[in-house]
Amino acid sequence: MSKWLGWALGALLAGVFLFVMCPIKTYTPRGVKFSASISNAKQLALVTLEYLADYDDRFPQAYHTNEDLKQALHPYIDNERTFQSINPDGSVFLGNSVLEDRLLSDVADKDNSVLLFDSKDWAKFDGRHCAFADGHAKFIEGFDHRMLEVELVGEEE
Amino acid sequence: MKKWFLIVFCAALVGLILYFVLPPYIANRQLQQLNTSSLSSLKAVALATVLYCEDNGDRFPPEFLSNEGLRESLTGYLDKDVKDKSAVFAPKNPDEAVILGNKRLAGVMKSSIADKGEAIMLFESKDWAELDGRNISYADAHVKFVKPFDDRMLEVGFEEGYE
Repeated sequence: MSKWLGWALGALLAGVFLFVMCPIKTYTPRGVKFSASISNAKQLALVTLEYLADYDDRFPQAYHTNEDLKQALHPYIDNERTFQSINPDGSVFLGNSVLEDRLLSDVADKDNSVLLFDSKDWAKFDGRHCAFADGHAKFIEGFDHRMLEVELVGEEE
Repeated sequence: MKKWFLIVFCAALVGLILYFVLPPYIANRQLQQLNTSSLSSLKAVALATVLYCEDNGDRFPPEFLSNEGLRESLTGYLDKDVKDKSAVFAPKNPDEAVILGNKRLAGVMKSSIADKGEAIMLFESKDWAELDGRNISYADAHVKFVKPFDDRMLEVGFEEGYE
């Protein structure tokens, strides 16, 4: 009898453990590095908007490589690690070169225009972090380079 | 009786192993075949680009970033043997990628590239999710599958003094 009681108690404990752990696993499915990386993307996007406010709404002339970003945004960010994506495969953030030397007001659809993006896919999740011209950042599964095309309006088009 | 049971048990075991092992292998083989076909499409577009440059003062097409720009500029330069000329610009990637040109080369003189064997000319817009990489072609028209693809690879080194 006591043998069955032991088994029942064991099963009950396992059930409680699963019940408690499953939601925790759901809340952090992609890990801390993943969240830190999206926070970096968001921070860079906000800093770019700050830069634009200081430079009459105009994007830097060079806004493509990670070095370009560092050069343009360096005065606004203390921590150089912000320019790194914490992708375990080793990537950095790059700017969307279509926006180089353009006015933010030329960008027709700011919510969907990519400002910055991971240089490499996160192999584990098949996608990249992107920040958009309105300052929000998100993870895009199945990132496609066609997403870097930006609809521009205004006389400079 | 015992012997028959052993035979049936072994057959079931082998069947079970094959059931779990073979499908991914077969799927991967099919994907590899699709990828090879896409690689050959990319090669056709790369050769068309080289011909375009020869006819246009050694310069790459100015509309080199979008797939539509590539289609407009290069369709006339595709090899006669290419039957479906619009299909070569869209690889058979199950995730529906297309071929794009390296924006850094738009309108640029081919002779200004420092190392043509290292400068990426064309690439697929998306990774092959199952294979974790994509096909690319270089300025000397050779093609290969890279895994993993990094956007920093799109940087191009130019000859000194070229603007």
